[in-house]
Amino acid sequence: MEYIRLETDSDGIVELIFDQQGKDVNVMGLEYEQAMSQAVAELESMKDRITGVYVRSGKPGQFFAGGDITAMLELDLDAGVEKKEEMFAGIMQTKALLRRLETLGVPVVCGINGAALGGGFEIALACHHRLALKNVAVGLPEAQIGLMPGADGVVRLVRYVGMQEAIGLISTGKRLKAEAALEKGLLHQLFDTEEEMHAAARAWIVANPQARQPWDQDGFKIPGGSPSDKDDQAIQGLMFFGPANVMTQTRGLMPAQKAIFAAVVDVARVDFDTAAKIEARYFLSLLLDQTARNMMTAFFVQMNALNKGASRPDGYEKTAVSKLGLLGAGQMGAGIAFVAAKNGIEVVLKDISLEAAERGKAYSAQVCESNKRIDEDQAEEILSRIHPTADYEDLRGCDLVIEAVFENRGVKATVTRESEAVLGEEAVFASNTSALPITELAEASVRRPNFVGMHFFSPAEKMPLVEIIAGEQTSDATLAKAFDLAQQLGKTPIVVNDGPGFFTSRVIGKTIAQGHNMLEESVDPVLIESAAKFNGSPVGPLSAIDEISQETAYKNGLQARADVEEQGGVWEDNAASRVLERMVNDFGRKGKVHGGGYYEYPETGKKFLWPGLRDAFAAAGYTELPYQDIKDRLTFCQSLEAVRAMQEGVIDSVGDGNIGSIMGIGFPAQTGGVFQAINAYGVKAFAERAVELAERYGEDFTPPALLLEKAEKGELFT
Amino acid sequence: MATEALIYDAIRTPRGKGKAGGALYEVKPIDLLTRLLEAMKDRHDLDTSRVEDVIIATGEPVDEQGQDIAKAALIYSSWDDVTVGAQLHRFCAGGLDAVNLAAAKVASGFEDLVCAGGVESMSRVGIGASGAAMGDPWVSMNSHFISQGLGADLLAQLDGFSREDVDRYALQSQQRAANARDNGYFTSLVPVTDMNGVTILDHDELIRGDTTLAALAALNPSFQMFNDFGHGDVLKFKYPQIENVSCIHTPGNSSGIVDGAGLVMVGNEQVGQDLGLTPRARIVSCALTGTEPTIMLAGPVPATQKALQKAGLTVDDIDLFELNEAFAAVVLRFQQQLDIPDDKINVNGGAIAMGHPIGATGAMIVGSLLDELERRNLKRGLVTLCAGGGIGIASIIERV
Repeated sequence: MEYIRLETDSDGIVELIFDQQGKDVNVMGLEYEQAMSQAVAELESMKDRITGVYVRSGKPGQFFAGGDITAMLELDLDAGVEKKEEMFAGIMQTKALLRRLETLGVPVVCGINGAALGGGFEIALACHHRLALKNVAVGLPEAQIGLMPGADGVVRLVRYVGMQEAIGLISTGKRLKAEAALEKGLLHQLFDTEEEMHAAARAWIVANPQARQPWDQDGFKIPGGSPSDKDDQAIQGLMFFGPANVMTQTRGLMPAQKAIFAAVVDVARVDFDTAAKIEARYFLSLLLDQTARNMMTAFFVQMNALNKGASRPDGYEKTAVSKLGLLGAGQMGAGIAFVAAKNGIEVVLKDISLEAAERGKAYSAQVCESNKRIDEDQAEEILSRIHPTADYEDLRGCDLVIEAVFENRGVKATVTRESEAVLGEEAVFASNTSALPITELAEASVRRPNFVGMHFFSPAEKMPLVEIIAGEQTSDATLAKAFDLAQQLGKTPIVVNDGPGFFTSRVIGKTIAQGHNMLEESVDPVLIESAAKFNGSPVGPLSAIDEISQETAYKNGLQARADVEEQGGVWEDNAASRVLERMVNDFGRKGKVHGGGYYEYPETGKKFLWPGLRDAFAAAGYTELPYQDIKDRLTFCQSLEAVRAMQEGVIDSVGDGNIGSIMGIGFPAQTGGVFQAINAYGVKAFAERAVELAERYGEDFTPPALLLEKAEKGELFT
Repeated sequence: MATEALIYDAIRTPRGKGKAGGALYEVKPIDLLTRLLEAMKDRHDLDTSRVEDVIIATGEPVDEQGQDIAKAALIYSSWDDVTVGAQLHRFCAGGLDAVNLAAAKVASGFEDLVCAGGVESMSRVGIGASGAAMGDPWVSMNSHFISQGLGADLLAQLDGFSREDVDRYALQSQQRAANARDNGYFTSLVPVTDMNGVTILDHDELIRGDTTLAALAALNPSFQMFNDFGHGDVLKFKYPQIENVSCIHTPGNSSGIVDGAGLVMVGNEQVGQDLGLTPRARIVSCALTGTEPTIMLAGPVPATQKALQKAGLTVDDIDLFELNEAFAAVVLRFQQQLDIPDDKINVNGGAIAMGHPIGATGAMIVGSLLDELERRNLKRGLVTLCAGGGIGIASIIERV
């Protein structure tokens, strides 16, 4: 047997050892199916002669990775009913193997020596007793890629921890540390070494010859109550308000969360074997679901490639920064300083005065305080790594310096020169700008190959993305170093080329622009914001500006204008600049921090749109547009701009574009990102809809040549 | 074979407060219904063997109202064994739907004499006691289900009704109901008595004729919690133009929770002659229709239009309207959209003052309308209700 070894010892204990050949980790796919089928049959044939079964992995430090996602991605989404029947039977067969194992009649123990996620944890849940090494991660994370457990993970978890807890764990796809899983009763004992764990497994088997699953014992009741407990207010409340909560949280756009909630309730109404069929039906529906496909593509395939360095130049040793310089101790600089210090990097935090730099450090102290996972000792350690200064001299010895000063070419040029004067030949200088061209900023540098753009998002301590921008002269070595630093900071890096607004800013700029176009066209602002939210965006374009503040956006606009004019260009105003000017200068509505922008922020209760918007922008009444047009205007403009960026060579990797759009600028996650959204819609249909929108709403929707070409050839963005 | 469907009688019990302490709390739902069966028999010295079917609606067909309460009550009563019975559920439209079904049976000639109505003991079998198909999580997620009361708040917001508007309507309902009770306008009301003939309740118990706008304004919104716990966002799937629903419906301007029953006897002309019955009215037309289910309460206007159209009549041909006061905004919308003056609708108050015993109401207000048409010597009336799932129902009756 290639995948599974069965080894029987003198006590009659059979070890069932997973060790898939040719793979780093064991996965649940066709090979598993075949091997497990043989193994279970063999166990059944010798069940009267054996004492128990010990399920473990033959791979050191690796237990079981879960389902075979690569194979899942090859499934035909338009499978006919016959094919679906075959798939359903296959799912039931996989389930049956674990069911046969747990009802063999002898104790079955599992020893988890590494991450047991998804399918791996489902195998563990089918064992009567679960042991694990300390610190390993367990859980059912399928929901994070648009799926749900399909090997009775839902059926069993509900029976172990109850409906309420199961919904929470499964629908968020929460990974649990072994210690937390122990507390919830999902693991039974933790160990430092595999040897100790193996010994305990044997001992438990010998001591518990009558072991059976709780649900196979008479009088079993689901902990915490079942749907038929009419008088259980907690359960009835969960069933009444839970669905509304799912719909509100996901805007109905996440089929997995819907299916999981429903499945948890449905499997709690019936016996185990019936429940298994119910779970299989929901699971099959997700396997063939476009949203799941989008999320598997972006969050599994493309994310893994990205993390493994697909966009990092090849041939450069992995580097680590030990001393990082930060210029500008404003919220951005201070936020990055905190993240760096938290990741063990010594940070020189420089501003024009020591006081300003100290204020930046104080920001880190605040962040530590508000983070429950950082205790006092850790906070002290983090803060001790941040060295505030007003002196460039202190940057001496930094491996990398990030400037996060005001978005002004002159200021940025000055700090570049002053820093480089004390930095070593190898040191990298990174500009954290959201819009100024890196190639032009690099002109101030004496070591242009070492000059790179690193666009962090605010607040830096929370936002997971870093957009790395290669200027014309940026060397591959420098790009690799910037990439490594981003990962060292625990961030996800995407790599793009230089161009106005790079990738993320130019893409999000389009939806902000559409929001303002529509406001100026007298579209009801409630509809604009609803459309964005029901597209799956975390916030609407108007809320987004309130957060940044109208004043900042307005000043950025003036700065951009000054920048264009300074470069000899001609500035053309637009809906956003016109609306912002009126908001700031005529109405004094300068943003949330200034007391209100597009929204009012009452002291108690929820924010609501400023009633003055109607007089200001729709005095003659609201313009009626089809709601679907409003929705599409907000997302199509972004995908189309992304394609333009690709066409212009600003971005090469579809994966980086997808991940960057979701993690950096809040593009709806269920679409799988700006490019995957086009694939999911159908490239040709997308191009046709774009033409329609262009006719009605202007050239932002004119499909770029690259899109038309793909549509013509029937190609996807991959 | 087709014939007219004539209403030979329409009676009801008084409505008792639908909670412990209410006058009818001690009375089993089957006794409420049986009391009306016996009264119907006594009022007409009725040969019950001629009644072919009894259709009874109830909103919670479970426990004491479970299975087929109609046949159970018939067996338990003094009626002839030949009469059969059926239980019916069409949410709040059930009571009127039973009457309409009886009319359809008679008009088609399939049957000659049928009784129909509804019964609800909300004090003994509470709202939700029978569970709900719509309450299944998968179903509710795919149906954009929200609390019905929040639907009323949404309706008010879309139509531009304020808290003061709905409270003012509620005050009018109380004052009209008190006036009607005090002057004995509810002539078809049958007191509920015990096994000894001792009266348990002989008037509508919930009416608060002395309430004031200030007292109504002081009440807290009933459905704010549903709004805040997710339903306020769920409704945006259908109504994206709504930023936030302002919750204005309270216990004071929504229908009350009560116990009660209603029974209507419908037959053709021949059976009336055979049994010496005098028809009080005929059923001119009936209509059922479905509307957007999330807001749920918009059915009465299209149902009314459909019933009018089937009868070849217009709004102006109707002398009095009886629209169940599920929530004040439902009535205000109806008046606004069909241009119905105050003095032609719910002239003796409605469910805001007297309560809404879910399955029974539709049949009860047929009787109330008929009593008032007779008192005023008017010809034509229209009964309509909103109901769960967006159902609208309406019937037009005409005195003969």
